[in-house]
Amino acid sequence: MAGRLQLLPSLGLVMLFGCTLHHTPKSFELDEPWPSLTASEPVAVRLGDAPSGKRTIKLAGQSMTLDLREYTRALVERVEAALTAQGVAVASGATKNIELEVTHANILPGAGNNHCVVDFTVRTSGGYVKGLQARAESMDPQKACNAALSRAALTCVSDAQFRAYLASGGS
Amino acid sequence: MWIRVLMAAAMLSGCSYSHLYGEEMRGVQIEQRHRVHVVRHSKDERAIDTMIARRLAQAGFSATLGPEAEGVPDGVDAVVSYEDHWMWDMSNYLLVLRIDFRDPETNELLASGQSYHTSLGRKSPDYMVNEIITEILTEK
Repeated sequence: MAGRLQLLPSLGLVMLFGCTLHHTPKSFELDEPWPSLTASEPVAVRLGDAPSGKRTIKLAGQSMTLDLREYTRALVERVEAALTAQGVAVASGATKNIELEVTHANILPGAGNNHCVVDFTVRTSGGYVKGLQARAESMDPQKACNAALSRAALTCVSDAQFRAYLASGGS
Repeated sequence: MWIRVLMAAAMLSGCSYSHLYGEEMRGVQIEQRHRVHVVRHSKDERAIDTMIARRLAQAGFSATLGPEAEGVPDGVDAVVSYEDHWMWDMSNYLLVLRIDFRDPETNELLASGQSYHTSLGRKSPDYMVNEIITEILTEK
């Protein structure tokens, strides 16, 4: 009984001040179809210069930390997987290269749902630079961000200029 | 007794939760982008674009505004967009407002801010616009 009473103030603190969880990106399969891709030559997908370090996102009753470097790495892996699945040769030493950087990620809290919004930049060795955004929603903010990162990869490979660059000759 | 107190506290704190956030992206100084254009989204019936443009003008920016369909005028240094989510609790209130600044050429995110106020801590759209812009401009 005494132990239970001691637990109550701790429980109260958690309820009042919430808790912090760190989100490490995990794979998430989208239901949406992926576009077919063609590439004139092998391509390298590189990690942009996203800063490493925890960022804190405040949510109702809790906080979530994330690392833009980890998010960028997850986006690179998902784009590489999408390219490979479509038969595009991915080679780290290829002269034709694409650099990806997640520049910002945040949660828009809604009525019972969390919208994870991921902003990222695509740079190609052909000189194309584009800021893109992807989002996904879920009651679970971590799940929302896993889905948003997969949708970011889908947004990237669906971008008309990105696709034109892949298909074009020369790096 | 303890449980009742805690439940009441949790319910009250949940109903009046607020947070504010504003950030310039790495290497960006938004005040150097003097000419800004605020894009009104098609579902905005409350003229939030006007509130944002007015606040930016107060901060020294040359701010224009217009609907999304009209596109962005030539020569602007940043495009401002926003997203507003409303809730009902006795009356409509603005739950969350996000304001983004983007590069007109590349669409890269330059700065972003967000204000969130639940029902008991509700604020006017003007107040939330003001606190976000202030947070972005003072965040260093």
